[in-house]
Amino acid sequence: MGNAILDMTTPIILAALGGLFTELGGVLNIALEGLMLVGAFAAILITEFTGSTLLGTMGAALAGISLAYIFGFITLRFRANIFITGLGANLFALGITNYLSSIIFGTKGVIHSPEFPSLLRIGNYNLFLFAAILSTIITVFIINKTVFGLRLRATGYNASVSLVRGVDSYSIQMKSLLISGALSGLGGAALSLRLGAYVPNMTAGRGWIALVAIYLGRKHPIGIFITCLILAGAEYFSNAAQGMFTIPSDILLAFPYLITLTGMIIFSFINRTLEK
Amino acid sequence: MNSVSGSSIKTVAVTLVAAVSIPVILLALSSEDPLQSITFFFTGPFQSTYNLGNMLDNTAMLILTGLGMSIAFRAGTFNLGGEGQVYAGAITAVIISLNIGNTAGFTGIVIVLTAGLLTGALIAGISGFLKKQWNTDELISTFLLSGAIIHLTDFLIANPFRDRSSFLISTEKIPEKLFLYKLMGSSHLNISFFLSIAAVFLAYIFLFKSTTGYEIRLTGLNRKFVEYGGIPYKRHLVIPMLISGGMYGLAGSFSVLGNFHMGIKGFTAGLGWNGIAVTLIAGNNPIFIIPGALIFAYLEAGTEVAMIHSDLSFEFSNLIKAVIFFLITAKRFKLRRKVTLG
Repeated sequence: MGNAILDMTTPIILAALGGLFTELGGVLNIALEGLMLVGAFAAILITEFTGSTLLGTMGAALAGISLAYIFGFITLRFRANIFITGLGANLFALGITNYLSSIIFGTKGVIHSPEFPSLLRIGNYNLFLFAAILSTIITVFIINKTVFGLRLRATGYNASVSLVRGVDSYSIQMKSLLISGALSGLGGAALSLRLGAYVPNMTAGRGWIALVAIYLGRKHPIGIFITCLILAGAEYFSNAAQGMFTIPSDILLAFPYLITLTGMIIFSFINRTLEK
Repeated sequence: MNSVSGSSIKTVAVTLVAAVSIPVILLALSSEDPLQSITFFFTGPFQSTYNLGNMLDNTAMLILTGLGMSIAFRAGTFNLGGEGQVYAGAITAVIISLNIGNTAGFTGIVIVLTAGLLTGALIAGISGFLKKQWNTDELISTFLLSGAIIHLTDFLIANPFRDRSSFLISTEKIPEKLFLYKLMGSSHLNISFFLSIAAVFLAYIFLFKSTTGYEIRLTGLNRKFVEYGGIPYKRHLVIPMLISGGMYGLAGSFSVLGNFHMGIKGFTAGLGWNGIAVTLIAGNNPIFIIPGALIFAYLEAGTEVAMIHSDLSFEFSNLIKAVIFFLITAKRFKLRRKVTLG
């Protein structure tokens, strides 16, 4: 049970940590979903051709970084509305994976081959879990103990003031976007490599769940880690309920959204009550 | 919250050129006969009354969804749940149609359309209410709610209302007396086209000639100012949501009565995001929604025809939308960096 929950939550933790960097830098990154998706696709594509899940994982991070760069370049340099360009990045991810999948694999559907290498595990735990734990610790360190972390938070707090103080907010925000691309890409790889297959739109809202987890985790890496575990736990138990009550699969697929939404409503309710 | 303002003509022009070049480039790269595919892309929508009629029917749906979104944007709110709202409106229309028995013709149609509209309004209204009550971010809540609703609608079509004799995952056909009157041969074009144009003028009058419309626009421009000026701005977090969700629900029920005549799994997919694209092209101005919807419907129809006549099978639609979303809100197109305040 614990193992299944950890496997479910790892991709979301990675993406949420990525989103934390952009959030602290004052950028609401609704592109996490798309960044994860290109990562998930690249991981399978590259592993398929090289036979190495390590190269596949690196490719996933690179794919996330590339899309984040396009997204950041347009948003920051053309001064575009980040919510709209973020939607653009999500749709771009759907479109480009669909295109490449049909050109390279001749299918718009599931990509899977029987001799696909299985993912490395230490004991019962998959390697991405360790990557997520390590990333959480490193994130705590970067945010609190480095110059970059300080500048990042300053930019998020007030971009104009930090600019006057000599902080290049463009470069800081760009870097935070690239970090979110890398981590979300890894999250995508954690998703597809564990399954050993790519399924169209397989992120299925996880990027959005990650986004909510940032708020519920009070914008702190460890808070985010715990929030992701709780959300995944709730999803696990609702899935387990399927066995008992034979709930149709379509309704099960609605659960992650409803659970996250419920978490969000409770959170905002508590916040509002505390304010008063 | 960054509200979405209208774009300059230059930005719209650059965006549209980029949006058109995406299918052209991809067809040139991947088609076995690029020239033929590209020709089909540009001329396809006008080659038959069937293609033309379908394009215009799609335009009508885009006008409604675009209008809904433009009112949300005008008020400074985001509604990212269009996909779920249009799908839920459509399935409500199907279920009501299958159950109103002998309520024939006009009355029946009005009941079905109202039900679809209310369903969309209710779903979006929940997010508006949450925003008003506890300041729950509507950008995320609309999306999450819509994600859940899509799966629940899938369930309704695949299980309780499924027509087991059909090869598709679909419901039974609705009674013929509820079909909307068709305007162009065998194409899907129907009277909902005129109704959607009428909706444009209603939306224009509402936004620019009514007090509520004025207050909504003001809320979108500066929420603090509105609060200070004593306008009950909290209401304006809910009303635009109800309207935009209602338009989406209405579009869903129109597509059932006018086009599909049954519920099919995923049949309205894409309309939600398309509505956002249309309103952005139109700069949130109701009147410009008509040309905006036409342009977008033309792009969609062109790629569809090009695909049918080629060896390719991928979908352009998301890439075209991606390019539009990437560029349409750009304030400038300078590739070189310049550090400025603001």
